[in-house]
Order: sequence, then C-alpha cells, then structure tokens
Amino acid sequence: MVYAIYLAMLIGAAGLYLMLPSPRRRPVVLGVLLGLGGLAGLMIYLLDWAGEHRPTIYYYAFTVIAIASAVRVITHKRPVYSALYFILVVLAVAGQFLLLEAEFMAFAMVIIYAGAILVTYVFVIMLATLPRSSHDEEEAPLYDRAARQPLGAVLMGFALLAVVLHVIFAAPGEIERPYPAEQGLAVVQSVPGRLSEKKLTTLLRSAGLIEKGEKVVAVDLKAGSATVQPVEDGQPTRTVTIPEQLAGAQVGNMDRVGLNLFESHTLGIELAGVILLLAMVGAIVIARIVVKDEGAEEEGTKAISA
Amino acid sequence: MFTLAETIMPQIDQSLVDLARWIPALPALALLINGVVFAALKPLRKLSAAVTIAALAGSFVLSVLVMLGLGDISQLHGGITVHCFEWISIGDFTANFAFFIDPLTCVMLLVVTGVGTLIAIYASGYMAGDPGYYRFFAYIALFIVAMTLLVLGDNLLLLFLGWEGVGLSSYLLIGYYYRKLSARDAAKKAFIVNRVGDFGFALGLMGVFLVFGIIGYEGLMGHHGLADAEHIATLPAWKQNLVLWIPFLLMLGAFGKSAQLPLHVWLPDAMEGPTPVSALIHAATMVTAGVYMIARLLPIFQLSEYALPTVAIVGGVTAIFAATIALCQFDIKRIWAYSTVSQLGYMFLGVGVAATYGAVFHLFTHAFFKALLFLTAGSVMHALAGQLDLRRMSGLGKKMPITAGLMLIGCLALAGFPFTAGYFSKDEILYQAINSEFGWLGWIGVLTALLTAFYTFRLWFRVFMGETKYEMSNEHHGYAVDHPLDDHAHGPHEMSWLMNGPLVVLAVGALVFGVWLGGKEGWMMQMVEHSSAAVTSHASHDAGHGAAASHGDDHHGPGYVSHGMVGAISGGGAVVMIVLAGFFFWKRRDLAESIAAKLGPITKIFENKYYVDEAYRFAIVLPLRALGWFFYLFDRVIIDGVVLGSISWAPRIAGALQKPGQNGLLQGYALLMALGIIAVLAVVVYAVVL
Amino acid sequence: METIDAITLNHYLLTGAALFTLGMIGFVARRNLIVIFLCTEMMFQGIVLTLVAFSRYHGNFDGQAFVIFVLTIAAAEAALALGLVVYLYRRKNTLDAEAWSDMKG
Repeated sequence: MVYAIYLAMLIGAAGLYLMLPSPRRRPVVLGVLLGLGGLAGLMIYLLDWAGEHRPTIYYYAFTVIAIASAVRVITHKRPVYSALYFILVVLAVAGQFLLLEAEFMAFAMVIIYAGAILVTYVFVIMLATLPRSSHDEEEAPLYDRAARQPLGAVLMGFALLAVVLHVIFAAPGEIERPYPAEQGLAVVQSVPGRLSEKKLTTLLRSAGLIEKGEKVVAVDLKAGSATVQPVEDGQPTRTVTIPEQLAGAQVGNMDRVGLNLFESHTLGIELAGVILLLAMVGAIVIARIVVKDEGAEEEGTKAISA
Repeated sequence: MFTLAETIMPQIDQSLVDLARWIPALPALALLINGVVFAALKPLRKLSAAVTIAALAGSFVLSVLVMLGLGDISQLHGGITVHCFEWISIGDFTANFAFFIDPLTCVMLLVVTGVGTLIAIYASGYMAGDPGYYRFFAYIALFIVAMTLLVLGDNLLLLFLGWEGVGLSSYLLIGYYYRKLSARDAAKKAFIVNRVGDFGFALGLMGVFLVFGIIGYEGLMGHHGLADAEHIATLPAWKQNLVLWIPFLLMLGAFGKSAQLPLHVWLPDAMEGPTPVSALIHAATMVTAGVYMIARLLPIFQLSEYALPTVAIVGGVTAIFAATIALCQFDIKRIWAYSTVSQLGYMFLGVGVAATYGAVFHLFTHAFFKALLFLTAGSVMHALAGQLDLRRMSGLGKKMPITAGLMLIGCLALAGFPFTAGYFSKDEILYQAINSEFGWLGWIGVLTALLTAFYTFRLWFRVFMGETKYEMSNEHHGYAVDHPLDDHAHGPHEMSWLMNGPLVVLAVGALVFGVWLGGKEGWMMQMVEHSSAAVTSHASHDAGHGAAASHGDDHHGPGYVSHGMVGAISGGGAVVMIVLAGFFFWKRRDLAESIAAKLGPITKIFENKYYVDEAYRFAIVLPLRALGWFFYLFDRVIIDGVVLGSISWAPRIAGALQKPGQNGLLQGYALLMALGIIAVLAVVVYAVVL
Repeated sequence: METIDAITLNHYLLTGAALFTLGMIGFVARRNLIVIFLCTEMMFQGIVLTLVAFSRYHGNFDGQAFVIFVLTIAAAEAALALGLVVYLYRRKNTLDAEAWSDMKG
C-alpha cells in the first residue's frame, strides 16, 4: 500500500507542473484539479494509514492549508501575492505548533515571520518592482511569467519527497527515543525558588489536595512533597505529595524553552547574537554601496523609444 | 697553577648555574630588537651595535657566573642539568629544552661570548656607515643565540638545532653583501657543503635514537650511561652493527662544519663575508663546533675502534694540506682561512688521539689569536679600501704601527713562538700525537708547525716590512664606490681605539693564556678533566696515551719523545722559520720569487689549492648540470611536446562535454545539488535504514 | 510533557517534508530573486515543523531551542539577502536570476 501514496504524489506533481507559471497557455484549471486530487489522495491515505492513532481534525485542516498555500507561493505570478500566501503557510505551521504544545514557538513564528521578515519582503518587493500601469497579468515581467525548467524541478521534488516518505512509511518499527522525557519536578528542581509556597498553595487547592484555609509552609522538591499548615493554630502539620504533572504544568512551554536554551545551548545563543550583529553590519554596508547602474543605459533607451 | 673556582667557591651554587637560561635569551632579545624594532624604525638603527654589544657582554658575565656557580670542579661528577621547558615529547621520545652545564660547556661559553663581545665592539667601528648596520648585528645576535644553544644543549637534538642555527647565520653573514655575485655564490657553497655534513649528523642522531632510545647526554654518557661497551653487548646484533656506524656519521657533520678534508672547500670562499664575521664565525667559534661535538661525544666515538683514528688521520692530513696551500696564496684573508683549516686539523688530530685537553686548549687559544689575526687583516683592508692582495702592499708598518704590532703578536702565537699561547696548546697536541700509536701523524704535525711559522711571517713581513708602497682598492665594505670616501682618501691610517681596544685584549690573551691557563695542574686541564670530554676508558689509553699518561714516566715505549723535546723542536723550528721568512720576504724578496719560479709545478699546485675545487666541479657540479639539462630537455620535448599534445586531449574533451552544465545559473546548480542529495539519500535509505 | 507516538510524529514529518519539497521546487523553478528567497524561507518552515515534532516526540526541548536558531538565521538571511537583492536590482534593473550568470563556464 505504500505505493498508493506515490500515486497521489505523482498526480499532485503533475498538477503542480501545470500550475507553474508559463508564458504559453496551459490548462491551469486541470492542474488545479489534479493538485487538489493529489492532496485529497494524500489525506485519504493518511486517514487510512493512521487507523486508531489519527491526530485531531485540526492537523488535517492545517496541513491542507499549509500545502495549498505553499503551492500558491511558488505558482503565483505576482511576488506580493506569493508573500501573502507565505504568511498563510506560516500561520498554518504555527497552528501545527499549537497542536504540538509548542505555544511559544507558534507565537514566535507568527511575530517574527509574519510580522517582521515578511514585512521586509514586502518592502523589498515594493522597492524592486518596475512600476506597472495596470493590473493586467500579461504586463508582468517575463521572469515572473515564466518558470525555469519546471519539469525538471517538479520531477526533482517528486523524487526527493518519495525518498523521504519512503523512510517514514516503509521503515519498520519505532524511531528510538534516546532522550528521557523531561518531567515536571525534574525541571522544577533545576530552578531554585521557581515554585514558591504561595503559588503551590493555590495549585494544590485548585487540585483539591488541600482544603480552604490550609497553606503550604515548606516545599521539599527532592522528595516531591510540601508541608501544609492546617487552618487552626496548634494543630500538627501534614505532608502532601505534589503530583508531577501539577509542578510541570506550572513551568510553561516558554519557561522550558528558555531553560533549555540557557542551560544546554549557551554557546549557541552567543553565536546567534554574533550572527545577528554581523547581519546588521553587513546589511548597513550593503545599503551604503553606491551602485553603478549597468542596466540603466539599455533600460533608458528602451524607455525613451517607448 | 691557578684554579679560580677553588679559591672562590667550594660548592655548587644552583642559583648561579640556573642563570644559564639567560645566556641565549639575551642575544635573542638583541636579535628581536635589531630584527624587528630597528628594521622598522630607521632613526634608532644607530643603537643596534650598542644593544648587541650589551647583550653579548651580559651573556659573557652570565657565563662567568655560571662557571663560578659550578664551584670546585674537581669535586664535580658529570654535569648539571638546567631545565627550561619540555620541548618535544612524542611517545617514548623526549627532547627537553634543557641545558647541560659542565666545565667543557663553560670553556666554550667563555670563548663564544667573550670573543663574540670583543668582535662585536670591533665591528661597531668596522661596519660604521654600512647601510645594513642593524641587519649585520641582528645576524651576529642570531649566531650567538644558536652557538650558545649548541654548546649548552643537553641532548643531541638541541645540539643539532644550534648546529643548523649557526649554519644559517653563517650563510646569511657570508652572503651579507648580497649584491656581490661572489658573496652570494660563497654563501650558497658554504650552505650546500655543510648540508652534506649535516646530513651525516642527522643520520647519526637518528642512529643514536634508534639504538639507545634516548638522545640526552646524561642518559647516554653519565654514570651508568647507555653508551658503554657492557650495555651494547646486550643489544641485538643489528644494533651492535649500527653502533659502529654512528661515530662515522656524526664525524661527517663535524668535518663539514669544521672544514676538514674533503669538505673544507667552503671556508676559504666564506671570506667573502665582512671581516668581523670571518673572525668570529669562520675562525674563532663556529668552525670549532665540530671539535666541541667530538669532545662532547667522546664516549660515543669510542664505541667504534676505528672512529677516533679516522678523526686523527683526517685532522693531521688536513693540517699539512691546508698549510701548504696557505704557503702560496696572496689574499690575506684566504691565507688566514687556510691557516684556520690547518689549525682545525690540529684540533681534530688532538681529539683523534684522545688528547682532548690539548684540543680544547688549542681551540681556546686559537680563538684568541686567529680572531686577532683576522681583525688586524680587517684593519689593513679597511685602511686600503678593500685591498687584500699581498703583492699590492708593502711596508705598511710605518703607517700603521699599532696594527703591525698587534698582528705580530697574533703571528707569533700562530707560529708557535715559544711561550706564546699557541706554543703551549700546539705542543700539547703534538706531544700526545707523537706518543700515540700514530706517531707519524705527530711528526706531520711538527712539519706543519714549521710551515705555519713560515707562511705566517711571509705574510707579516710582506705587509708591514720593506719598502712602503701600496695600491688602494675601490671597494668599501663590498660595495664598489665611484668616488673616494673621505676617510679612505688619504691612504693607510691607524684605526680608532674603538677598534683597536678589543684587539689589545685579544693580543694579551694570545700572549699570556698559555702560561696562565696551561700546564698539568692548570685551569684548562681541570676544566677538561672534569667534563664528559675526559678520557677515561681503557680503549682510549691504548689508542693514544691519554692525559693520564703524562703523569707516569716509567712505562714509555722505545719511541717515546718527552714533552720538553717536542717543545724544543717545534719552538726552535718556529724561530728558525721566522728568521728564514724574514730573510726571504723582508730582505731578499727577489730571491723568494726566483725560488718559487724554479719550483714552478709545485707552487702552481699549491696556488691552485690542489685543484680540489676543480675536482668538485668535474666530479659533481658538471654531471649534475648535465643531468639538469637532460631533465630540461625531457620536460620540453617529452612532457610539453608528446604528453601535452596527446594525453591532454582527454581532460579537454571531458571538460567540453561538461561545459554546458556550468551555465552560471544559481538554480541550475541547486537542481544538480538536490539530485545529488536525493541520490545519496536513496542509497542511505535502501542500504542502511531498510 | 506528554509525548506523542510514532504515527502522529510521522504525520507532522510528512507535512514538514512536503513544505520543504515545495520550497525546493520553487527555488529551482522560479526566476524572480525575491520569490527564490521566499522559497528558502518556506524550506525553513518545513525544517522548523520537523524540529518541533521531534522535540515533542522525544519529550525534551532541544528541538524547540533549535527553532530559535533557525529563526535567527532566517532573520539574518532576510536582512542580508534582501539587501543584496535590492543592490543587484539597482545594478541591472531586473530581478531575473538569469541576469546574473556571469560565472558560466
């Protein structure tokens, strides 16, 4: 049955080939239909393959949006639209991140990609596109209207995806998990003072483990327990075991990513800082170069003759 | 007679000995200052002489302190190691940057730094006005660094480092006037001839490591050192065979560096360098490195019963060979150069018959009087604007009385005039040689001594006595000048005291060191007897009566000649020869010329240095050049013609086929790259994962 | 953090691979320099999704930490590459990648 997925991909690839921009007339509608058929085949295959372990419906929705938008990014003849479809891709991927419980990453993607990088792209498109009198697509420059070696590119892409998917769908067994999963208390223990008594009191109360009026007076993270002072003075204190999930939930996704970054990837952070600085310096240097316009004469004569 | 150390300090003072670390460091600092700071900052270059002299003088003072630190050397067993840092450590092999201090080291250090300082002072006047002033002193500092490392090193590798370092500085200084073709050629010649010897040395060094696994002096020759017959008897057979070769390989290095037959050809040509260089490197210090090496490694040389006799024979033959050449030369510096070769032959004869005391003593005194001779020759050259030809100068004694007097002292010492320094040291060697099993070599030495006296005074009488006449040359320090320089225009003149001062010190040394330091109980004997150069093993006693043999007079063989007798023969002979030289070259020069003319063919051989250079030319240079031509033609005809004409088509066609792929488009390359990745990925997936 | 099973992981890997491949196709097939760079960003999207999916699968945060680095590189690339695009456009008044094929053999 593995080969059914190849068939779906082949249909999709054919559709993509027809959709890629070309100066000649192409049956684009047929291409769209083929593409949609390929995508639908892929989804059906996935539904069948996963059986009981199907992810939520949102996964399928976001995947369809991401792939369809990605196709539009590479097939649209106007770069501005490509950029806007790319935002859609970013949003869909951010949605997938939410499904993967990577909330911080999801919002970071939206803010940095959709908010910052894509704005830069749009500015550059503005700066570097010839003024156009109308919105007629035929007036777009040739390099937007014609793809280069579309057949070769599509076949290459098909081969690449086929090889990668073969690993995913034909490789037997589980992928090894070499790292133990990080559990709640283990993470909390690495940050002294992270879980204060007051916070824990609220947590345990909402979990129904202590009664109203009782409060935590001491926390022993090693043992995973908290000492609780009862409502009335003079009564003996009692010890409550903190559930791991509770403590882990308290340390959110953003905290964990930050912890991991600064515990395990300190050097990487430093290098990333240096790279950003270099990029900034480089961008400034490039911007300051005075350009000799090589194409000006040709373009100029064209403009005059026109 | 006089034991300096004994009277002052009875015990080893480690803190003083540790100062040895700074002996190479000071000249190294001077090298840096000269080579970097002064090279960059022109106005400061005037200071380069002062900086270098200060560094060398500092090293000399340190050398004296180190010697004092050794305390009573008669109590000394072996040497003291001063560790600097770990230099090389690979597997079992270790070579530390460490210094080995024993009395022999001290003697060499005193010679190198002491004579070096004096010559540097002289050079500060001699080289004044030269455009490469700082460069000259940088090279001198480099030389002193290398030479001190050579004598200080505690292992063969450090010795080799210094050995190559002095070779390098020698090359640089011979070619100092690099605009002169002859200087460049001489520098190359010196370097290449030395390579032959150094190759042998390097092989010997590797041989030592191969056989013994260590290269440190202490491990090889200290108490329970590995280089003794008992240990070697336990080694496998191939190692025992290899041991016999090691001394000969090392010897080759010594012959090259110390200009012994047949590798002597570079030294006379080396006189192209500035005269102070000839004095320092090519007379007093560097060329004696070979003698030092054999003296230092004497236990290793004793491993083969033929090694030391070979050294002795080569030394003795070289001595008379060079002396006869010196007899008929007309270039002052060349005469002294051949004289140096001859005197080095004496030293090799000395170590060869295991008379290390005599050899080291002669090394010491020779450094003084030969430096003096070269420097006075330099003064004459300076005065006559580069004139060195004996035939074009005469009677300069009236114009330059001080120079004449100083050179006379040097000549007396070289000729072995009784009670000068050279007389004592030379007699020690001759006495030991005559009473060794190679007695004939000793008599050759005596004959050489007579020749030495004759050619020495031939030079002196021709230059300073007789009718005063001279021709100026047109060179100033190797640079031809078009206009007469101010201070040279008025003819021969006396040198300033900046230049004469060091000469006086050297002259005093040449006169008194024999009486002062020589003798059975003298300082020099003490120093040599308590170093690794001391002759201890029985084998050497048999080969030549060692130093110890002079103590007992009762077991002399039939051919025994007493010390006094040798002294009388060589001293008396020297006096006779001096008188003879005076007769021929002062009073009756016409007679000398007619005799030389009658002896035509022999004189011609001597004048042409036995045609050794020509022999090398025909045996080595021309065949190599012919080979070079052959390869050149091969390259042009076969490689360029046939190969390029045919085989080169294959890559050309292959290139033409691939050319369209290189379309210069980024995405074309990206596509190909992606296809490559896919191919690799597919292989990985099907071969590894599945 | 709850980990996910291999089948769920494979779903996300498929989406990531598809995005990467589409980016690659666009990179090779499009001629507009800006779109070409946009396609590299899309390839980043595929990689980033894969990284986060594996992070979830292994139950640790190394993958998400690497996403930060990918974002860094993407930002740096956008700044530099787009600066270069503007520079190139000013030189030849065209965004066609074929205009810059001076290196052809």
